[in-house]
Amino acid sequence: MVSMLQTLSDNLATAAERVGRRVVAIRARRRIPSSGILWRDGVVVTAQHTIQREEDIVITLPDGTDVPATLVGRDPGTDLAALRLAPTNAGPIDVAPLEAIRAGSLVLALGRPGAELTAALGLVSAVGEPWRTWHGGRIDRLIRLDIGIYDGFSGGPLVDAEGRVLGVNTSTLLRGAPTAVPAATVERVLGQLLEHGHVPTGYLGVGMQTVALSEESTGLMVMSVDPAGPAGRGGVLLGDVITAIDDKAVSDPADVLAHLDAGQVGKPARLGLVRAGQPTSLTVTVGDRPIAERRRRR
Amino acid sequence: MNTADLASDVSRAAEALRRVTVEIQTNRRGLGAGVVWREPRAIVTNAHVVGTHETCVVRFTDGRTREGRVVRKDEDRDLALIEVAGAGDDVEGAVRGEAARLRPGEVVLALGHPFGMSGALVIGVVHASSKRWIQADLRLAPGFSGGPLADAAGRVVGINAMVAHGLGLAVPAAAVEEFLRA
Repeated sequence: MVSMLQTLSDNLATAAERVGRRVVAIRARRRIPSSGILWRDGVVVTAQHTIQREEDIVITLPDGTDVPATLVGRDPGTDLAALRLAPTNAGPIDVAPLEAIRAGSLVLALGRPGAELTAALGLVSAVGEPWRTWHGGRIDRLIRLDIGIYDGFSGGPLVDAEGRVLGVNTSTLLRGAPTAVPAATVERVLGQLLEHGHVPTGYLGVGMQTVALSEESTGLMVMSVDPAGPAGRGGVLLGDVITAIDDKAVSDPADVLAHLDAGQVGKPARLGLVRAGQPTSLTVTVGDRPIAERRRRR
Repeated sequence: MNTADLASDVSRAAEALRRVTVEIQTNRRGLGAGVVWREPRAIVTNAHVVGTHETCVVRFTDGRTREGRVVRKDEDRDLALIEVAGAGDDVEGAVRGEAARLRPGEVVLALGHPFGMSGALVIGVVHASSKRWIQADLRLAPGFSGGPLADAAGRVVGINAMVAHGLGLAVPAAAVEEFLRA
């Protein structure tokens, strides 16, 4: 008689085998290769921090063949990177919806830090709210894991017992603790990387600090202005106090960042201001954060 | 899937492993583990468990203790063959599994005597498997050395030998048999 334990074991090994056909080894750093996932045909997703060399990247496919790959782009905010390689006939990836990621679920972390597929077993220990990382990336849900981190963990897939991909594992977003970037976030970031080569991030070109306007209300005083930036060109001056963007009150620089997320680039934004004690408003066109600015935020 | 059934499967597997696992004690070192091998009939443990000793005390799961004689060692494979006169003949010996067929993600169990606690069980999965080692993602401690690593059906697939980079390393069953038959 086949026991429940054997059934569980079979399911886990089958899930590993199934998703393992998409797990590749990426040679883009010294010593041990990192793991990546064939997310779409000819496109590999991995953890951005494991790509230490942007040229001469070689990918070892699950069947052992080595193929060259080029870096499409990286997003330090979510620790994701995309690489392109010749089409491999990888079918569509089976990802789990966000709602299916629950605390307590048994999960496997797969990797390929060389020719062989590796697996580790653990649990989803907590599923948090939408989350902004310390590097400014927007993550749909913070997935904390209780799982061992071995060579090849970062960039490998988090897989449930049914063999669905829950996300991409990384050990750098949460002070070395194991986390996974959910598949929904991967899809969104991957689309932007393929289209733009980076994740466009709304940019005003001002430095701000929270100030009290009265006992009840606060605003953001403009402490520095990039004269060539969107706000500078739109007429924002040093000493202006920003109180709202598109009629939404702002009292913390994080409110502004939240409003400036990807979709806003190129669109007009109406800034509510207090200038020399008088309420006024200005409309500026949201820019894309320049590369130098992005690097500074890594 | 019923979790109560799962739990009883695990305790049944642990019980079966306990019957074929012995404690090995030398006068100097702490407690190690050993496995009553079925074919060929022998008690096997790690070479590092017996060290330079020529004899050791073997304690069976039912509490009987006998003096064991270290017949042969292979330091490179970290295996030792121990002979015990007369005792344990009624112990059936471990059912052997096939390490070569292990797949990453497959459930594995290990039994040992961590910190003197007899017959403790840990559970995990196969991390990777090669001819030389089975790498397992499970939490081994001192006292698991020389004990069995088993698959989900309770078949012994290897002898736990060490921990490296947090992974348990076990000598595959085929290599154990090769050593025992040499």
